[in-house]
Amino acid sequence: MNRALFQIASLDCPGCGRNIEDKLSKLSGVTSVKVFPGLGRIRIEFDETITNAESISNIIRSWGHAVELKKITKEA
Amino acid sequence: MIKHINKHRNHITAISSILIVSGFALPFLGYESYKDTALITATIIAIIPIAIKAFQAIRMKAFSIELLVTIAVIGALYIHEYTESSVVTFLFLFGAYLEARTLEKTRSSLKALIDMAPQEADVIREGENLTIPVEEVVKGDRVVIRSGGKMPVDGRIISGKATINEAAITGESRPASKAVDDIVYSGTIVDNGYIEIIAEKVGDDTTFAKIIELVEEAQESKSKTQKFLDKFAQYYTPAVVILAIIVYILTRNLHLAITFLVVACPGALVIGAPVSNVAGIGNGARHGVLVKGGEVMDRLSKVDTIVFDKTGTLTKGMPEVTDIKNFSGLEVEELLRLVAKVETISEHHLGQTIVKEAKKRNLNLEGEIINGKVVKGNGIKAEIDSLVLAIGNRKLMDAENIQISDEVSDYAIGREKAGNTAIFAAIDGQVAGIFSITDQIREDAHRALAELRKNGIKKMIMLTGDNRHTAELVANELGLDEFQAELLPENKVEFVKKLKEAGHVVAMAGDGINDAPAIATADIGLAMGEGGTDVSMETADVVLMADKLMQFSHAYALAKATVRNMKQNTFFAVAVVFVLLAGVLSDYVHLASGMFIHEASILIVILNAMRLIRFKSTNSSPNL
Repeated sequence: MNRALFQIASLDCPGCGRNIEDKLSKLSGVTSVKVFPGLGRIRIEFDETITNAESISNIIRSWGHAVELKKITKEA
Repeated sequence: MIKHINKHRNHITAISSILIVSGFALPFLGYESYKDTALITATIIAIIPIAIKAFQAIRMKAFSIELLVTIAVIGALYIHEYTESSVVTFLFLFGAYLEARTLEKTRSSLKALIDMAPQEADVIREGENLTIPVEEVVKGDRVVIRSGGKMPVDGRIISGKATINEAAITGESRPASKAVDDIVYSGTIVDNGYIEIIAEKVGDDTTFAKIIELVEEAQESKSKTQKFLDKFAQYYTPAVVILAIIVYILTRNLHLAITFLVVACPGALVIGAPVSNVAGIGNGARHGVLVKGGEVMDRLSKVDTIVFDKTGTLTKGMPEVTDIKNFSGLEVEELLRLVAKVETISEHHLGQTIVKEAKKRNLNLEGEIINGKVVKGNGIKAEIDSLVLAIGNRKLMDAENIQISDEVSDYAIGREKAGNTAIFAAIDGQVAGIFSITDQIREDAHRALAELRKNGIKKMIMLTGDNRHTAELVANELGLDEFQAELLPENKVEFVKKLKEAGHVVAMAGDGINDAPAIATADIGLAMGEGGTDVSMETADVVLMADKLMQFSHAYALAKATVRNMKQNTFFAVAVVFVLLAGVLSDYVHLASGMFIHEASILIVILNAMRLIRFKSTNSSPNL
């Protein structure tokens, strides 16, 4: 299981954060998603054998967010 | 373009206010015909940023308050209510401005913490002294901190000594003395002295950075109530639009329908709960209590039963060897040397205590250890100097078929009744000695437990792996309701599970490493330990950074106060909506006055939440 931290611009509409959370958690390989809308922080846990941080960040970008991958933590 | 508009929101607000004032002033100067032009311009300028936000939310499939306001204002323009439309948009923008300003204040606790972060570091690289930005410090760097200086990274002291103010990490402002081999944390300040450290954690990995990150995220994590209100707002907002349409169809009164749209905005309702959380969690952070989010706050406030681990939680966790009883033909020092040597492979705190005692007496613990085996919860076995040693509790002696004579047994029980842990050391199948170890009860334990009870804890239970006699002594001394001794970590988990099944809301307080499973099982897991370990910060719901029980009672009282505050806000917001609706229907409240009350109610809930920033659990707790 790997963990990635993404940074996007802060979201200030109620519901926007949950929208992203819902959409991301439907991606295959993604096991947990936490979106902190005000901070623009997205924490994702994913199975590295199914997906990777690069493609997740591409998907977030395709939704119109300027996204930056801040950190990846690998776990055994 | 959008960015540009958002950046100048405050200017837009100011321009619109000037236009409104001039709109009202013009008729007195004889320019009656320009009044409407001024007010319409004011409305249009001010509605732009509002409409943009409404549009952005729609794109994310969310209905926002801005949408309600935009519709209402367009409607007002349509029926030529220019005064109303301009005042409403102005009030909305101005309210948002005040809201942002006051909201910032509720985050001031965290900001005070962030401001403690150091900017520069003095390092010695290849014998050269350099001052570099803190981001450039790497692991292994030798960093110098002088009196008054801030620790730029986490590290271990390699030379010098100092008294250090660790308030940034622990909330405790009384300086702590630190010397070689002690760990120091980024963000703490050298009160007096000079130290050189080797950087161990830098940048985002420091404890300080993690605290900030944790608190930021905790302030954003929503409680169940908040999640419910968010969901509610999602349906409520479109429902208001539909209702307004129904009102129009029934009454044919567009003005009434528009007013309805504005007053039904759920502003204070949406902001009331989160703002209490932000203030409450910020208060905790400043007192060295990390509460991980609104949901934790909620659950913590409902706790009625606390389970404590004994060692390191109710006691100081710094045990000392008080006595060594020798039953063997060896010298006492030799017995200690053998036992301590075996214990060097143990990670158990009692084993470490024996090692510490041997080191204090300058005994040589070098040498080979064969077949060393830790028997979890019971002790340790190994061979050294061709002797077979078994060191641990009675269970280990039984398991190894080692006879305990009446004399030895009586002695051990006597020591235990006096508050010691008796460690049996057997050599080649014979009890060779008993090591008495005691761990004193924390100084603040009595007071903290009394506070917790006063604030509503019904039951306090102590669980320990230690022997029954010592456990009983501590439990009686502290007036606990129940204790369980001689438990393994998994027994603690079972015990917590049973309490939960019996309907108690259970908080488990422990040191975060041995007790991690039980902490994870409880409704609220609470980890203690100075500076907090990575493990405890990950798994626990509440982390006490200064290793003080008084922080626990503060956390509990704070949770209750925060939840109370949240309820007040929610109740107030709902009441305001009802009052407004009644006012509209009875024709007392109009568009502009409705908006004014709406904005005022938002400010009131924020101000109410701000009281939490200064919340103190006891009047006399300078060293919380």
